Amino acid sequence: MKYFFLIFLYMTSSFANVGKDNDHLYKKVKPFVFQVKTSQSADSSKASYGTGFVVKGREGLLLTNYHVVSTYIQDEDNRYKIFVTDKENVFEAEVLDFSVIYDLALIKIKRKFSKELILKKEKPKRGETIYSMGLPKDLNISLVKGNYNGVIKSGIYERILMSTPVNSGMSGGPTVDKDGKVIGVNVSILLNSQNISFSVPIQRGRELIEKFKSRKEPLKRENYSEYIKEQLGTIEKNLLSSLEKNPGKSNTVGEWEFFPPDETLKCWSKNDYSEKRTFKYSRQSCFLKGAAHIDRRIYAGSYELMFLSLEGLNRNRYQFASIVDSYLNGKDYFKNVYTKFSSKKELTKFSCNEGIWTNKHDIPFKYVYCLNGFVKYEDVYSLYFKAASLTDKRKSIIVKFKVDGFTKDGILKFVTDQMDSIKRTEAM
Amino acid sequence: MIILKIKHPSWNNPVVQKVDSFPCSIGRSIKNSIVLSDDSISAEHAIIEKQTDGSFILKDLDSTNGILFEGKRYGQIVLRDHGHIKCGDVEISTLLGDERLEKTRVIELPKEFQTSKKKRLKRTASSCLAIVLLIVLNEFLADPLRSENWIDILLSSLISLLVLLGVSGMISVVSKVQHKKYDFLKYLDISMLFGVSYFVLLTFHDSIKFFLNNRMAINIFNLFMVFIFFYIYFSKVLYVFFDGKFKKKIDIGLIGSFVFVFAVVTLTAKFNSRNTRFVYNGSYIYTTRNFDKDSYSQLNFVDQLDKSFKTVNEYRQEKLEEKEESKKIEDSLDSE
Repeated sequence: MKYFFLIFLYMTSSFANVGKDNDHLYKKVKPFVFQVKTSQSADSSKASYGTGFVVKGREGLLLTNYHVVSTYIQDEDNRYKIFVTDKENVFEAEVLDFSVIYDLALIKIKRKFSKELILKKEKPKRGETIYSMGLPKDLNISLVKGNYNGVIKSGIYERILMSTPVNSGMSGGPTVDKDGKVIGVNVSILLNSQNISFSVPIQRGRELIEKFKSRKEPLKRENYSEYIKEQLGTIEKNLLSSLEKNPGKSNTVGEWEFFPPDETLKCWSKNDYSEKRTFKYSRQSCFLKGAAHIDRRIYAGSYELMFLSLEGLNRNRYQFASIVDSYLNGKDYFKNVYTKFSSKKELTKFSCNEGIWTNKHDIPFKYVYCLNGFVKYEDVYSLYFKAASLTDKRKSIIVKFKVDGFTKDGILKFVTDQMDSIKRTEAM
Repeated sequence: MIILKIKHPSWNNPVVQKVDSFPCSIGRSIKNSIVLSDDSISAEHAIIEKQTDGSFILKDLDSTNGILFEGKRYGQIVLRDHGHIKCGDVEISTLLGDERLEKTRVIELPKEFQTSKKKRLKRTASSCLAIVLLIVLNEFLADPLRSENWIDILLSSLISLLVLLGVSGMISVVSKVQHKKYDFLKYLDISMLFGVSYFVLLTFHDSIKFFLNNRMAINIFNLFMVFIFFYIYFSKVLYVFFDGKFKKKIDIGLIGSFVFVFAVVTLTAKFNSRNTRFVYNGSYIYTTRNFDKDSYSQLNFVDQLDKSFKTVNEYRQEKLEEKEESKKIEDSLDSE
């Protein structure tokens, strides 16, 4: 079976190469694609690497991902520098502008180019063949082929969905159409999937260049933190305003009704009612598709929600309480909290508390929350919040929120809005 | 056959030694039948010989300190029943082995003791039963009883009983070292009682109102049990090692267990610190058990969160200060 699978894979890949020869495209794009690395000196080993491509030849401007140069931007001790290399030459680069929202960075090198890659203005058609270029796993400049599958919008975040087999190291490389015009910047892939990859629409790159042009001078190093904070503020404002403007449609779990904060939010539901079970369980988990990458492990400007309805069938009240207890105190949802323990430098300790909260619809909740803050940015916090309703003896709703990188007021508004939206369905 | 009860002034307990074959030599060197490694004993000190008439004599082998009877030095001494002699500093009491010792002896015990033993057994059995019942009840409160759960119940009751047996076994082994008695049943009884009270607390702690936080009460009880156990254990073990080494009588067990429990508490407190770990131990739901608003903090969510924001900001300041300090240190290292 394994052999068969291998042969099958080989066959398809060879078919894929048969179609059209793309060597002209490779030749056309390759001169403008470079490796971008952050390291302590030109020869020393890389702290991180990715790809970048030329957008303004005469000025020597390159576009890449923010996360490719984040080691440099987050580095406070001025240990790291950015280098742009092809096989022969190494140039030191400076950061002119960046956007954590769209994961883009504009860098400048001293070398000048007579030409540059053209940024496409019109939108590509769905299903169009597109190509991604970059240096996967630090090997060689590679061209990979896939299809354009439209733009995914989630809150403020925007990504092109494509099917090119992008690998790590290709981040920041261009996504081009068959004429070699840039339509996006490779940014990420979906883990545990087959060729689901994302790139940032080039429109955002053009905006970044314009923004830099209007300001004229590059960002100063000491202003980076402030600049990031400002962008986080923009994200929060945007997310909260969409909370008011287009609140999600009312949604139900079990006999409970709630309003997810945004209509673009993706919600997954899971129901479980088998005969062997002594309780009924239905769950909706909603999350924003996208987050602002700040540092290697830290993401901000995002939230996750979970609504879980429990109903005890042939359990008595004590037995039901124990099941609610185990669901409320289960550790599964907070797995990602543990990963954050490894980044002690960037985040503060948790401050936790518990209490009872009666919401607008007179439903009392027992809640537990933990709050921590970002060390670099003032007034930016993450909240982990869980609550369980208390009134009924055999029915309960459990909610869990995770809000990352919001300000104090934003967090308060978000949580109170969400908690107050919960009520019983009117059929009851 | 004779029995020698050998005692050195520095020893706590005498050593009892049966002597069956003769002649039996006593001295410091290992060639001897009875080796007494003390400075007052010569390499070949004395020898016990059996006479043809059945009596035993102790002969001096030209030793430096000689053999003494009632403070006087003799070349040879006829051993008597319950006689006391001295070889150097070592005191030796002799019991002449006649048929009396070989016979089975019936020792009459006071009646109360026998009944209390019976009582003890009864109590142990009933506390065993109580523990199993409590475990069943505990399981029932958490989950409806189904056929799958019975295996769980069986296993958990088996394990908890085994643990109690093990604990009392450990204590009784130590007690054997000291008192030459296992006293297993006594310790089993004590640990069973502990077990019952522990399970009672575990089962009903949600329905009983304590003057403290429920979680706190369980912790304190746990601590108390650990303390008692270590007190018994340490007082027996440390006694063996340290007795007679201090001039004044100090309860080493008490000090040892205090130190140990203190260490345990501080260590667990360090790792359990609320703010570094997110696992929320103390959060029980009060849906059906005491749902009591008054027992909760009267601050509403917004105020509470406000407080948390302040503490988080404090943590942030701490971190920033730490950073600055480490930077200073690095700078000073660089300048050097």
